[in-house]
Amino acid sequence: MISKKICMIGRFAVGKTSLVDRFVKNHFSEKYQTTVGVAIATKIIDETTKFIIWDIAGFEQENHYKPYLRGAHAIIYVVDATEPESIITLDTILQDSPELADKPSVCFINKADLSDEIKWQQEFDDKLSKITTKTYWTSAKTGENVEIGFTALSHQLL
Amino acid sequence: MSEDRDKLKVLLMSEEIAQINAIRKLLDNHNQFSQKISEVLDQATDLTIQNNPNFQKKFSKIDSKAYVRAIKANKQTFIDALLPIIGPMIRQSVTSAIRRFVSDVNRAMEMGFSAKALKWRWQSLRTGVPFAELVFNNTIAYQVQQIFLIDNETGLLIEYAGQEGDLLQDKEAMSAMLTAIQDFVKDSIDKQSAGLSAAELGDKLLWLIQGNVANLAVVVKGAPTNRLRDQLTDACGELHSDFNQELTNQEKWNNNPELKLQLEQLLLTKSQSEEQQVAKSTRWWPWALMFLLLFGWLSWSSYQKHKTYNDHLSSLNQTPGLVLQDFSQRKGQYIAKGLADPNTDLTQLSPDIKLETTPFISLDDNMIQARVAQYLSEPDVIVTVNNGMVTLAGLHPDTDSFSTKIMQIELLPGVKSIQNQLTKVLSLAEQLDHFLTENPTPDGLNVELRDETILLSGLQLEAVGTPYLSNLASSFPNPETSSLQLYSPEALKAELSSTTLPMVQTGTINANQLNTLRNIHQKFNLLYTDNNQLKLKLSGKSDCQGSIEESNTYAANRAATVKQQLLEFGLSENTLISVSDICRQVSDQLDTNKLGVWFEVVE
Repeated sequence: MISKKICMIGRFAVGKTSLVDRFVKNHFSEKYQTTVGVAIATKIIDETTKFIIWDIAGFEQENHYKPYLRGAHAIIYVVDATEPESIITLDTILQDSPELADKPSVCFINKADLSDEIKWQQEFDDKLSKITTKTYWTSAKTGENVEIGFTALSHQLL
Repeated sequence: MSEDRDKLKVLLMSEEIAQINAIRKLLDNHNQFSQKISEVLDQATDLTIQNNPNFQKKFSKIDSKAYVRAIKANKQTFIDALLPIIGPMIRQSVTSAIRRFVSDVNRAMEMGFSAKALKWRWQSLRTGVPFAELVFNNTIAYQVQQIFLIDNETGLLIEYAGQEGDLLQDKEAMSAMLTAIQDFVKDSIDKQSAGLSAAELGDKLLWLIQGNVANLAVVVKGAPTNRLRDQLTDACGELHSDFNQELTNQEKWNNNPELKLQLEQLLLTKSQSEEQQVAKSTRWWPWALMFLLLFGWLSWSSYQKHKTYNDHLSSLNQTPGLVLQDFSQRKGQYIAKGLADPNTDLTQLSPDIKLETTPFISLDDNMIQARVAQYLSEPDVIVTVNNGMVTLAGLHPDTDSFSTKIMQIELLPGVKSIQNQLTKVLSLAEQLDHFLTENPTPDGLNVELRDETILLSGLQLEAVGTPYLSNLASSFPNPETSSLQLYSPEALKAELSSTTLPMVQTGTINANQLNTLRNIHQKFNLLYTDNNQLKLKLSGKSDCQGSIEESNTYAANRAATVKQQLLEFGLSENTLISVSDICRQVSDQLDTNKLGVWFEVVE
């Protein structure tokens, strides 16, 4: 079985840890607990692949995350559907670490369940299309598209 | 035109056409084509895998259902194929298991019986620290328990050695976390430094040893030396040189038995002293001790079994009326076969003995004795038998039926003759007569039999009456003594001196007065027998009414009348002193309480 290092990237409070919890433990908590440094989770995807998921703390501090990204096999970008400006953080990261652009990736537009608060516009889709080709509207709370998004990423790694 | 062109084509390209035809023929002929492909297939496969690593996966994918189907369809083929493999596998597994068992027994014996082990057990009991922990602390200097070989770049686990049960969580997650911590330390404290090199995890120590491609994370329990760290650092370098390709090839990660074996060789344990190591290599004494214990237990068990058998046999042989024919032990139970007299006492035998007996009449003296005693059924008759001669002793009831029974004893089996030494049982009256003959009743006392009860009555001094009562009670328990009066001389003297005989008449004595005088006579007689210096003083009194002269006469008459009566009862003249109280003054009141005779014992 081959292990793959997957890094979750996104602004703080976009729901990275919740998405990992939903995917790995099928669990969701309303309580917000900020991640310090990095949290590691693992999940066997199929008989040949195991994901080692690095849930990296919110990307506000300059460059502090860079060591954690070394050797990543794939990237999961996460933005908040109710806070579209969280895309800006992804732009900053990619400017800082352009090598990430070549890696297999997906983007989760999270908190899709908060339909009344969503402020999404077409221009945000355009911006995301420059970062990754695969985007999924996800909800860590309901589990919507979470499994599908991770599975899609695993297919890219084959 | 067309023909010319064909002719030209033949002229110009005849050789190529022949080659094309040959190739076509080759393609059409499957055998020849397969032959050709087989010549390049190996080389072509290698080249394909080199260019496309995923190509190999297509061949390595396992379809478990296909295996199941194949095995079901060709059971015998698989059995034939596996048979030569399974045998050695089982042998190797059994050998390995036995080796582990012997090692465990060695350790258990050493840890179980040594003085140190007992001391540690006591310490464990006292402090609550687990025994295993104490053994580790006292015997092991350090122990390398887990080794992670982690890729520098990705933080992914390349290989792991150690007990996976000891892991708090997934080993891949552990290696990723260790890398993250390493990165965090570098990023937070000093980017130029080598990063974290050691950390404490409870009672364990974590060492991080940097390598060019991969890092070694080592979990050590105990107190490791710097020499161990040097050793592990060298080992990390050797791993990089020996497995240079494998360390960078992710396909080989977590799937490299040789690398895992090399890591397992680094799971080192060091004892606290080299002597212990030497002792471990020649630990023959636990086996010797176990052998001695086993031998001792077997000997003791055999001795006990033999002793029990002999004890049971002896008790059976010594049981009167039992003739033992066979005695054996079967399934933990002793079985005795033979003949048994109905009067044989089997209650003394052990409950472990099961008896399978046939009834018979024993001519053993003990059995004859039991038979005669059972026949007579008299607890007071003592039966003894010697060579068939029955001797009867003790008391027997004086009845006709018993006499008949004695005569019939000779008819019982084994009885040759009878010697009758029985004594007839005496009636209570006969026993009392016998007693009174030997112990005459003292004067003043009376013994009689009334309604099967012995009565002792009368008047007597304690010095005489008490010993007699004791003597009587020893022969006849609880005699009736409610009518018995025993006095000390002082008490009797005081009683007599306080006695008054009321008497209105002066010359006659009525029946009541006569009884009182008889009692006084009897009591004084006892006192006089004890002390012949005593005298009974009689004082006649009047109420001094009428004339003084008459009153004095009446008082003197009363004393004289009483004295006369006492003389008639048998008292002598010189034991009696008769006086009268003289009236000095005439009284005008009638007072009958002043009419009578007053008694006093004087010396």
